Amino acid sequence: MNHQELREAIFARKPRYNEKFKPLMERISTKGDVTGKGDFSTFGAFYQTFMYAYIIGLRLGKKTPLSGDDKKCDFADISHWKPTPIRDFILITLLNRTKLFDSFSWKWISLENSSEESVANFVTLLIREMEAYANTGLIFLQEKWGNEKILFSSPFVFVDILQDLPYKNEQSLEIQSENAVE
Amino acid sequence: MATIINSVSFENFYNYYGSYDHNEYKFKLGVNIVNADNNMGKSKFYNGFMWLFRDQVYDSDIKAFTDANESLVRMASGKAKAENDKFKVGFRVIFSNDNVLYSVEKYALFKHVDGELSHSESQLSIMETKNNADNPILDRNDQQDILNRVFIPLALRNYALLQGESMDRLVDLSQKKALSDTIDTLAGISVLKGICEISKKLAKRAEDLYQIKDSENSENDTAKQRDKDKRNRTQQLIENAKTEIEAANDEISAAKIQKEQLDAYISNSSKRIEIRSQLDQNSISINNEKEKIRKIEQSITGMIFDEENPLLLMGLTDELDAFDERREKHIGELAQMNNDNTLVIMLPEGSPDTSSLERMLKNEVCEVCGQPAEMHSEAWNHIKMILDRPKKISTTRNDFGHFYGALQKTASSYSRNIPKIEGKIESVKEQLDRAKENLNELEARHDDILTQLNNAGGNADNSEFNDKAIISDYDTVNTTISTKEREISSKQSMIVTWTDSLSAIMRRLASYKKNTAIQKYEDFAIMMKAIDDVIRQTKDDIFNCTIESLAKEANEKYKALTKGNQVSGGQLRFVRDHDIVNVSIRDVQNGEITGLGTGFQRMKQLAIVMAIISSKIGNEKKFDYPFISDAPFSEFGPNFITNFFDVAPSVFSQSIILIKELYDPNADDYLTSHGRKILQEMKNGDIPGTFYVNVIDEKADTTGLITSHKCYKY
Amino acid sequence: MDGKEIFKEILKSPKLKELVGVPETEEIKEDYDSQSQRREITVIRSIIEGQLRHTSDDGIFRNIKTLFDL
Repeated sequence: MNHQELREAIFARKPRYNEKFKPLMERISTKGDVTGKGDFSTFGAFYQTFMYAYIIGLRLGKKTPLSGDDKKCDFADISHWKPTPIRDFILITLLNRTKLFDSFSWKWISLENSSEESVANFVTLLIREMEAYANTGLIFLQEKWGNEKILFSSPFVFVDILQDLPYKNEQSLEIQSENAVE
Repeated sequence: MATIINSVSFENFYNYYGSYDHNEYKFKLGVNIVNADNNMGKSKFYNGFMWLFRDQVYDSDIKAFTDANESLVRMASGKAKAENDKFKVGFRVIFSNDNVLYSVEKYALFKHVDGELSHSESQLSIMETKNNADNPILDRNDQQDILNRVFIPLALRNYALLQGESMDRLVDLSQKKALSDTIDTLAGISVLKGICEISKKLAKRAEDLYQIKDSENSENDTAKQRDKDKRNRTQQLIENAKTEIEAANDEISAAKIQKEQLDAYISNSSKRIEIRSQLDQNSISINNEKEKIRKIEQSITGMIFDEENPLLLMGLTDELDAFDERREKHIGELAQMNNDNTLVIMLPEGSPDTSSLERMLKNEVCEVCGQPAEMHSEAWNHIKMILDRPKKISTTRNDFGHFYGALQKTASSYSRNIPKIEGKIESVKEQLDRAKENLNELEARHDDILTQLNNAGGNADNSEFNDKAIISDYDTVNTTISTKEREISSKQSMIVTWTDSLSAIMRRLASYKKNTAIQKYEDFAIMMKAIDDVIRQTKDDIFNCTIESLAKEANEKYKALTKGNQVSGGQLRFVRDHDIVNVSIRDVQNGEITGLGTGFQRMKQLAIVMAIISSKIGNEKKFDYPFISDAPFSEFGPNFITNFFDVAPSVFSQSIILIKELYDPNADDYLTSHGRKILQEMKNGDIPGTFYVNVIDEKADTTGLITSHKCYKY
Repeated sequence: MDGKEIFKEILKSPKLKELVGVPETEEIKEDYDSQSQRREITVIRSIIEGQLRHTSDDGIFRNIKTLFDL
């Protein structure tokens, strides 16, 4: 498999979210201000809201995987996400954390010698990680909306939310070189 | 001897449906405010007093007073007429004077008879309470005495009851001698004026007597007689000319006053146009600023996903560093892998691994198909063969380095840009704050401009006066003034000519031989004339003194009433012109200020009224009678209103002010912010008095409209 | 202003002072209720009294004339 194929494999995927967040997604995605006035510009597409939720989860350093019981929805596949540099940045953050993937610990070097099926597996796990962080973010946003709706009347609401988050992503980040463990 | 009104009540009187107890306003010394919107009982309140004192009511539709007895049906409450079989329409005032309590009621009784509404004539009922003993006053003369002497004396009533539109009538300076009459009254000069009249007549009689005697006693004196005739004729001519000049002066005065009023509208219209254009500019600026703010606010969320400086990624530069390191490491490992030829051994897809195979051999079962595989059976050997097979070298090799590299490339600029994000957020916040500050300033400026517009005769498009009429009136008035001035001038030069010829005649007459018998008559006439001059001069001096005092007092009041306005109101100048006193508004250099808004004109009138009332001439104390005023403020701005409430308590012991300018129908408490401020000052004790607000109970059709009231301060 | 006060005011007149020969800086010392030696003052008083008592012009004139033996 070459890099192009890996890229295509990842970009063809459609991450999912819990159906119970669909109203929230719709509100934030089509009307920036959830109090319904529609005064502030919106996140536009669902995937942007999803990316936003992902970053929240990342910053909180917490993953909440979707369970088998949850009903799930999806939206546009990753190849359509814009702006592309931001999308790529998100992939970067996921790739930084391959060692912590659920039950598997992937090193990049192992991926080089994996079969097509294994690579596909890997991509699935990558997407699951993304969903888990995003899920955390959506839970967080739902709570804000439920308990602190007044925040949403400020044009700075989404900026303020980001600014107030901790930087716990650092804890899941490894920058040192370690010996590989298979 | 002061009168204080304790309460005013209404029964089924216009909007005031229900009994006296239900519609009672309790008042105190100081300023008593009844704050009500139009059609909420404000003018009706005042009409109670008009009915009581004058048997009249003011009809705001036709803007005139009408006979109360003809208007009783209209005065009756619509709800009472619709719902009550029998009812009373009444106005009641309870006041105290000199420790005696009076309850005065004016009323009419209504009833439905065979479906028709009929009513009695207005009736008056007065109860006097002295030392706790009630004493009904039944005699009509006694009743009138109480109304006209005790309650509010007749002579002062014009000053005690002030109704907005009729304020002009009170100090109608265009009316001949109106103010000078008032000054006469203030100075108590009326007696002196009478004396002047007499003295003038006596002087004339003495002169006539002398002339008669002189004529009787002159012999063969045709020349003298001719001169006398000439003298008489010339004197008559001069007299007539003087009278005509006086009449012309009257016309000029009246025209000048009218001109002043018109000036206020004409020159103000260009001022108003200018102010309006400022207002428009300001409104445009306000809208632009609001738009700017809106755009900034709208853009904020978008900045989160800005491609170059995404706020989304704030603080996450560590991620790029980490990725970079991993990539480096990965490249290294890849290279090493290639060099060492170390291959990772991979089994084909689906194959059991080594430990599984060993297990199968041990247990003698094939885990793939589930069949037994006895040791050394064909199946067992097959499994062993696979186990012992030389390991295949996988040649499958993926090539993902480029993938990571491409990601790194697209995100590389963020390492530079992410640190700038906080700064960007700050600058947007600052930009927004600045725009909001600008907006506040613009909006404050908007209020200022509106005040200016108000002062310049205002928000009104002055529908009373349309421009054509003003211009035509203005032309007429100017023509009158110049024509009359020319007339006066020519008459004056004629008087000069006649006076000269009269002097010559008098000289000739004086040279004729005098009869001593006549001398005493001549002396008598001369002395009477001299005395007449003295008396007249004295009257003039007193009059002028009074004007000076009044002018000083009025200017103090005027200054207090107009303070704080952006446009200076100037000062009042009282000028006597024969029997007329003209009051004009002058600037500091004594130039006449024209074109001040009608607000200032009203203020001038109000200042004069207040000065008259508080004048100390003639030993008048502070106005010891209630001052009841309906809407004197219709042309004024909030500044004037505040000033009025500052000045009023020092002039009037008790005032009852009916006002709409503090009313806001949309506010919970029905007050404008200015109204709240005044109420607070009352509660603090800065302004003594009471504060009422009229409210409408039901917004039904007009017949059902009922006013009730809330007391905010007693 | 009552009669007395009017009388007092009139006495302040410079013209009157000139008539009766009193220097301007001095006061004319006359009392409203007592007789005066000066004809002018008596005339003035008669006029004031006449007005207050609503005497007719004829009546006042007659009174004054007697002061002048007319």
